[in-house]
Amino acid sequence: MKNITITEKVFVEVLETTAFLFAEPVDRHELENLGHENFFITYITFSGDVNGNLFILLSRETAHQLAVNMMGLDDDEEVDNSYIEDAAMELANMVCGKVVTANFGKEKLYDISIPLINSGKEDIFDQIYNDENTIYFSIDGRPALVNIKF
Amino acid sequence: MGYSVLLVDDSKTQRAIIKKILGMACVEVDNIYEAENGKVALEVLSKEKIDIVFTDLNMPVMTGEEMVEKISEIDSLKKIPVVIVTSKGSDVLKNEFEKKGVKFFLTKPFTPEDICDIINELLGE
Repeated sequence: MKNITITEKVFVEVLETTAFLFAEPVDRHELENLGHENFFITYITFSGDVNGNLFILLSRETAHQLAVNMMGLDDDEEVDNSYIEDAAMELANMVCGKVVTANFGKEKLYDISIPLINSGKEDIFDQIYNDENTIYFSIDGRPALVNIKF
Repeated sequence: MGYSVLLVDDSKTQRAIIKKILGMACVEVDNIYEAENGKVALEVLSKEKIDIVFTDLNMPVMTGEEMVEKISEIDSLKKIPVVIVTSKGSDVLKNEFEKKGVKFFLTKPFTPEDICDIINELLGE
C-alpha cells in the first residue's frame, strides 16, 4: 500500500512539474471499455541494490500534450511522433527514479534502463489493466495507468 | 561574450527542455551544441570550445559515465565543468562522481531555477 501511495504521489508531481498536466487518481471501474490501441505503453527497469520495473500507459492524446507542454510548443503546433514517444519515455525515466528514491532512500545504488515504448499491445495492456498493483488516473478526462513492481 | 554549452542526452525532449531554459536569459549563451551520446559529445568537444557540459547518464553507444572518464583523461578537456542530469537521486552515485571531479548534479524533474543556479555557480555569474 505504501508503494502505491508513493507512486501515485510521484506520478502526479512529475506530470505537474514537467508538463503542467494534472493527474487525478480514479477507481478502475471509472476507466472501463478502454481500447488498447489508443495507448502508448512505456516500460523501464531498474537493477542494482533494488530491482524492479515500471509500466506507464498514456492515451495518445495525453502523450501528445505531454510532448507539447514539456517542450513549450503551441497547442496547435505539429509534433513529430518521435518527440511524442521520447516525451513518454522521459516521463517513465523521471517517475522511475523518483519512485525508487522515495521508496528506498538515497543510499541505494541502481541503474535505470533505457525506456522502451510500443503502441498498445493487447496482451501487455490487459496484463497491466488487470494487475492489482496498477494505479489508475484521469488526466484531463483521459485515462492513464501506472504499474511498478519491486 | 556568451558561453558555449554542450547538451548530451539521447532524449531529444530533454535536450529541448534544457535548451529552452538556457534561452530564458539566466545566462548569456552564444552556442548550444547537442549530442545524443558520449561518443558524439567527445567529437564535439574535440572540435569546439565548450564552457559547460550537461550530460545524461543512461545513453546507448557511450554512457555519460564513460564520457566523464574519457574527459578526465584528456588534458585539454578535463577542466570543463560537467553537470550530470539524472533521474537517479542516489547519494552513493553522487559520491562516486565527486571522486571523479564532477560536483554538480541536476535531478530530474528540475526547474529552470535549478539550472540557472548551477550555471551561475559554475561560471561565476
